[in-house]
Amino acid sequence: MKHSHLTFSIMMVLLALAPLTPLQTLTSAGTSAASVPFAPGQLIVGLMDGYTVEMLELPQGASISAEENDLQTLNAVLVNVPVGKEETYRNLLLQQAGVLYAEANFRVQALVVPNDPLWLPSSYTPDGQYAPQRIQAPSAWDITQGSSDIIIAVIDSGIDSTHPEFSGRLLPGYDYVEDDWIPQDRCGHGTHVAGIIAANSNNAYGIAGMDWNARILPVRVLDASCGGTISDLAEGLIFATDMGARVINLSVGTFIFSRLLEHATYYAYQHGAALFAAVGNNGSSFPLYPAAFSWVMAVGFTNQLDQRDPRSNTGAHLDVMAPGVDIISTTPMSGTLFYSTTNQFGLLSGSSMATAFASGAAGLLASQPGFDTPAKIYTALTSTALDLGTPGFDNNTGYGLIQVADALHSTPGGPPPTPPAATVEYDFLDSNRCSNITYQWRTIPHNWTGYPAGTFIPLFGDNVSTTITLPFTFNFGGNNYNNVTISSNGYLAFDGIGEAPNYTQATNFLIPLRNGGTTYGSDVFLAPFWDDLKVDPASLNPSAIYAATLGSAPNREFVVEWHRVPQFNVSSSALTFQAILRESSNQIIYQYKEMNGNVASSTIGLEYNDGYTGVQVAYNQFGAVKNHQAIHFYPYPAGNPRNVPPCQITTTANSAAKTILLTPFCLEIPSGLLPAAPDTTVRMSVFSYFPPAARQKDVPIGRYSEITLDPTPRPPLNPPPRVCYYYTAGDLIKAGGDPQNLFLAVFDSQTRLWERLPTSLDTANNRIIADVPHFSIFGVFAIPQPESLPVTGGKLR
Amino acid sequence: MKYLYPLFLFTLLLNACTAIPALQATPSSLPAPQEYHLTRTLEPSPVPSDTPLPTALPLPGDPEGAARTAFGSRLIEQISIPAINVLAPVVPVGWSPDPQDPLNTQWGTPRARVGWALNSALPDDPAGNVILFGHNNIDSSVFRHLYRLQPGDRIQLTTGRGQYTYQVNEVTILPVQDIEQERLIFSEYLHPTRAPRMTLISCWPPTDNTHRVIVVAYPQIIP
Repeated sequence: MKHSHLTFSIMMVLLALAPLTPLQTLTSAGTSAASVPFAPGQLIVGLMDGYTVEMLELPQGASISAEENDLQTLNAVLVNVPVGKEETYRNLLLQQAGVLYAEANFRVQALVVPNDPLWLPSSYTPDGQYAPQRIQAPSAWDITQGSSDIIIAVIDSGIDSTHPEFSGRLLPGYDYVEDDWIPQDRCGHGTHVAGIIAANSNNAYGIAGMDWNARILPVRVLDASCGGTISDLAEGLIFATDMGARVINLSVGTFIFSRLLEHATYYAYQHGAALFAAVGNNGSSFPLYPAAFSWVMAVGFTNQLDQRDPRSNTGAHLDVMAPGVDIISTTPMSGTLFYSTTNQFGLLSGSSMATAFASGAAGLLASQPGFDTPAKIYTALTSTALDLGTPGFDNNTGYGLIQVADALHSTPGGPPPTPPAATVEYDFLDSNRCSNITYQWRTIPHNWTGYPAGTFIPLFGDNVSTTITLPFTFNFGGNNYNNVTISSNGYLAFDGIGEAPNYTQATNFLIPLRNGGTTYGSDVFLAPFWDDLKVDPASLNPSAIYAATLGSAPNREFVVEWHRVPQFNVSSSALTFQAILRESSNQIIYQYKEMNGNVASSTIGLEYNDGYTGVQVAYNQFGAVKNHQAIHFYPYPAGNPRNVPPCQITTTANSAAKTILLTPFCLEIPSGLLPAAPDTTVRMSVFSYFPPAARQKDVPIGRYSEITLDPTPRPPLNPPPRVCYYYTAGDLIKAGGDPQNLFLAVFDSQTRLWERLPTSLDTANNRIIADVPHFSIFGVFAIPQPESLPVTGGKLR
Repeated sequence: MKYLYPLFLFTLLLNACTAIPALQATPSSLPAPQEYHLTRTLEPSPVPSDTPLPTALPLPGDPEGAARTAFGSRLIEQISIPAINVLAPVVPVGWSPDPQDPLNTQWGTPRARVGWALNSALPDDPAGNVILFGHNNIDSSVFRHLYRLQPGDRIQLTTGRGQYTYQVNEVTILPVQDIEQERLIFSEYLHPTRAPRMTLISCWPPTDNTHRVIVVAYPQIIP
């Protein structure tokens, strides 16, 4: 990454409109630049949900950067713009529909106090490494020396992989500065930080790291001048998270408030990584990012006497302190680098070093079973910290100096974990409503040989379940599964929790309801008909569960059939239904053959994402499923529009007036519009996704209907047919709470734009209505929210 | 850290805070843990059922009613900002066509209450921007002293399901220079976020509306 000598005088936090001015050359160790440099000719653009890079209409002169694409995880992209015109292009991009934010690619810096690094041969003495003793590391090592199952990511200037102190400990990392797989340190900072965290210990060589066993993931985002860009930092965070890092060390910072960085750090936190960031070294109380985000632990630094170093930044966002003055640690084996004037070992000071001690401590905590979420690790460190300065929390020293052994002894606790974000969502189509969804019963043999040699699932009686191996790996809710638990009570569980003495799954519940291992049972399941059912293969009127695999790879189907299964204590009932898992597409089908005696006491749907997310088709709803009905579930990536097949109907009309209803749309054909004979075929489909036109800022409600008539009446249509849409409370929320903000539009296939139709409102029936100028695709939109902030005051005289 | 923020930021913050005694953050006690139920989905089934919609009861046509129907007890009922003595009810506020320019819209007014932009996030959403605004001198002055907030001050939101504590991160006062600038740049504050955040908005100074005061707060994760 080139080092910019330009500065962006507009800080996002200020948004003041000053012209972009080239300022003084930034010395790499400089501390007095009155502005923050950024990568010249680059902007980071974040997109709203439903918008993709391809839809972005770039202003002339701008282009998508070929170099970065890992930001797609966060629906962001790096855009090249003419150097010196960053501000102009930022404003142009902000006017584009679908642009959530646009920001300069500011630079971040390693947070070392510039010092005169010394090689101290005496550093092998206890005096040389005072810091671990100040935070109880020796007694912590009596409890744990860490675990090789824990990955600690060091997002920094890379690591010198030839250093013996990292022998056998480094995972293959990535270099986002040079975009290759060799994150070699060319600044000296990353090697130093990594040594504090995890130098090989008890090896009669060099220093002892905090964590003796964790594996280190080197991610290089800082260049030879020890600076880097926010986009590289964000990519490093995504990479480290996706590689499974439980602890991420961020000894870097910027005063710039970046929405990309906000999102990237939260992505890591939400995926289970504890993040530690340096609070800064210039004595300021102004928030430094990423330390200032509440989901990132901000670490300040103390000296040999447990006193806050006056250079350590302050503020309410500061969380804990750790030693950071004259810290001995590893440096690259050869070469004179910016932060490495001595080879092998050297001294550095700053909140960078303190952050590394906290990260190493977190690695030890993470190796213990109770500390399984970032919040529990944070709470363990803050609640056991040695209080410094003003009693209790204070802005100078936070909760105090970390005490690792006390933290390890503490009871894991803290706020409940942040619910995981679902990576997959499901939409479903029902054959009772959509003529393109057909009921197609999968016939599987019924024999008494146990599965998999035969098809019989050996279950007998009430509240029984068994786990079998799937014929293929099935992805459900974003996770791959090779086993499934089949229950007599009409569901399939993927988390292994079926019927057991401890569980009470005979009682069906609303979806989703997270149980978290309590007696209510599974949190990852398919429920074709979850109710209190009973299997009795030995009775005169045998009921049983069968399973079989149909088709050939990669399009196999795994079918589980509940055959003539009665509801508990309802002897007259005999229910036959099946669940089908489809290989590759990971679609799910429920089919109902005979639902005799079906009373309104079942849950139909699916639940996943640890019980936080689900789709409920019906809950204790009378007549929810009928004989010969099929329900198809389609997965799609979460956060994206429901890009699944449309629901279609076909019907006929003639000169008589007719209203065709395919909820939530209707079509009113007036008398006299169509010929008396022959009949006109009307095809109507409803779908939820249509790529938004990039130039239009109206808010898509996500409901579309394509209507075709065969033969097509020629415009002008007289008398005009009318299309209507029944809106929901959720639609009103997208429309600012006022149904007047909703309108119908027709798609113009020539201009590829939506043409707004004069729309009238029928509040008594919760619908909007418009005359049809020609038949095409109709969509529902809302006038977007005002672009200005609300005005909350006036000039008082 | 190697770079100082621009000097004029100091000026702004000083403007906002002169003659105001420094307020010490007072850590409040942590609310009792709440059982978490994910209720992000507004409609229980992705495709509307065959329920005969034409006979359904009319939906409320006002923002508050629509939000109650859609979100129920998830709605924010009250905001408490001890540092500036604010304890106020919160009302969902939306937008309507501008009578002067029907293709554009204008925000509704929360009157004496604090308005929650009803398309913004709720406190129990896993991520997103909770946007609240209040008057500084017309209709009421509920957010008159918003500018006095300092980083670290706590803000509590109470919903029908529990209490959520946020911590102020930044207080920014922005001069309103012209409409175009506001439309382009300030509207970023109204955009959704991919991480949890709260944004409080009001006008400034107390006797005028030449500036906007924006408070960004993050949920408290460590008790």
